[in-house]
Amino acid sequence: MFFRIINRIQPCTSQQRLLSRSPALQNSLLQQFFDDEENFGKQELRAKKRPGRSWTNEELRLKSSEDLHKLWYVCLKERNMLLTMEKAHKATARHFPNPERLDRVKGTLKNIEEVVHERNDAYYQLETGDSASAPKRTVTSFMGFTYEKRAEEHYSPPGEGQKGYEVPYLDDDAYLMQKLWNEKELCKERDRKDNLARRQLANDEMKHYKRGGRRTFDRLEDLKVYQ
Amino acid sequence: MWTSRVLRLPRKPFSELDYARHMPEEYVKNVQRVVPRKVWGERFGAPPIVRWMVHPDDAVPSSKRPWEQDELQASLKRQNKYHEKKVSRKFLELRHSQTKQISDQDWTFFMGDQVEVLVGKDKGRQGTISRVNRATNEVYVDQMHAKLVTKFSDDELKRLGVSQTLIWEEQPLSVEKGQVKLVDPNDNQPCNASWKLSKAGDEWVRVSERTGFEIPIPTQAEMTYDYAQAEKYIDVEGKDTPADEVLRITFKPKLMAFEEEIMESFGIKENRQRKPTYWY
Repeated sequence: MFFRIINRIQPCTSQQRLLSRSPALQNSLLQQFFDDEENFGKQELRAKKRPGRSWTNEELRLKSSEDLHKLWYVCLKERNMLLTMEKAHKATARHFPNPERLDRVKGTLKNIEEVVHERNDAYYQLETGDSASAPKRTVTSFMGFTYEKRAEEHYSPPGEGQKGYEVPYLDDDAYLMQKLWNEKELCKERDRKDNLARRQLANDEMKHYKRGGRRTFDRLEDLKVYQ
Repeated sequence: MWTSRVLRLPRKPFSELDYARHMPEEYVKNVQRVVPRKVWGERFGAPPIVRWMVHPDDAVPSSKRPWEQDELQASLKRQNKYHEKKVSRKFLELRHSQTKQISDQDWTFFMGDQVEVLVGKDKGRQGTISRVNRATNEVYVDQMHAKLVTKFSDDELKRLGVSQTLIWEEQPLSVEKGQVKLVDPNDNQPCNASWKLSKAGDEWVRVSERTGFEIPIPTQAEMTYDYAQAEKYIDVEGKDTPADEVLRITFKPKLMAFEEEIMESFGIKENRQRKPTYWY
């Protein structure tokens, strides 16, 4: 049923009337999945129909937890509505008007999560001394890389070889891997610098005639570009 | 403490005035297609490999806004070209933008400003800035430095059966190359301007370097994609939260986690004890 309705979205007014007569949009609960009918098939929304920017962290910090909880669901519904409309427009190969609305709602959702995390973090730091975010551990992988890894939560304590650690001395394979890796990175860096120097040297004429850079140098000063 | 100290500092209009001020950064990145096509992560500590839609070095700032239709088409075209070359393992020279955006502190041109054009057929004439492009350090002056263009090609005109119509299209003027200069309101002569703290030390003002007179910021400079003036913004019914409602403080600190607070407000009681878990 959904797709039949969605497929009818067209910019012309007769189609709009057709859509409004469909039973789905007369149902007020289902209607919440759809945008205002005036916005269907528009290239760009009028300023009066264009919602404003997302909530900032500073504004969200003024609000109680209940308010944030409510706002989260308001924004979630709005995001679902926009995603429905985006899919409907894409399915009928139409231009979805003002897609930045979606990013704005997503921005608000992200900010709410940040503010909630801040509050929880403050509470847990005070009560337990631990952060609210998942702990991180420094581990050394079998390839010899030492890096920060986000720890995962488990019901049982770690068994044999399940918990990673930082290793001060690498075994032979890891050591060789690191040597080769560093050599490759060094070569990449050298090539990058070389390319940069060539780009700086190339002028418009050289680009136009597809001519390469200079090959012979009489003076040491000219060579400096390549160093 | 730090926040209150920062709030007491004079506000910097040069970092706030921007047409794309409220455009989400992710959205702008997405329309420029500077987003990863695929990321190969989880490589046991080795850095992830990223295949881009358009490589960040290849995104060259344009004189049009990145979300405008023409610009979007150009980005998509470049994206396809980049992908095509990658798939066929061929070399594609990235464009490596040459222009470097002038910093906020050094930028003094805003919409609605009186400027003098210093090049071209309108050399020596004064006009108002109609558009600013920070990314390319260019401004458009109202009805100045324009050229006659046609929007349709000859084939299209033949197909549609319409005669050719020419329109005047303003061309960008570079600030970096000194093609425009601000007009000093004191003597109506072009001048260089810079940002200075006022004598009271509570406000950043734009002053002419030659005479030291203040060049006031026009109200038009406030314009963004969302509104012409911040005070005159009309809330969208059913979508926007009114400003006074946004700023109403309802936060009450409680010695509780967010989840516990919500559970309390819904009357949910939880007596079960959490089992210990292990993080590794």
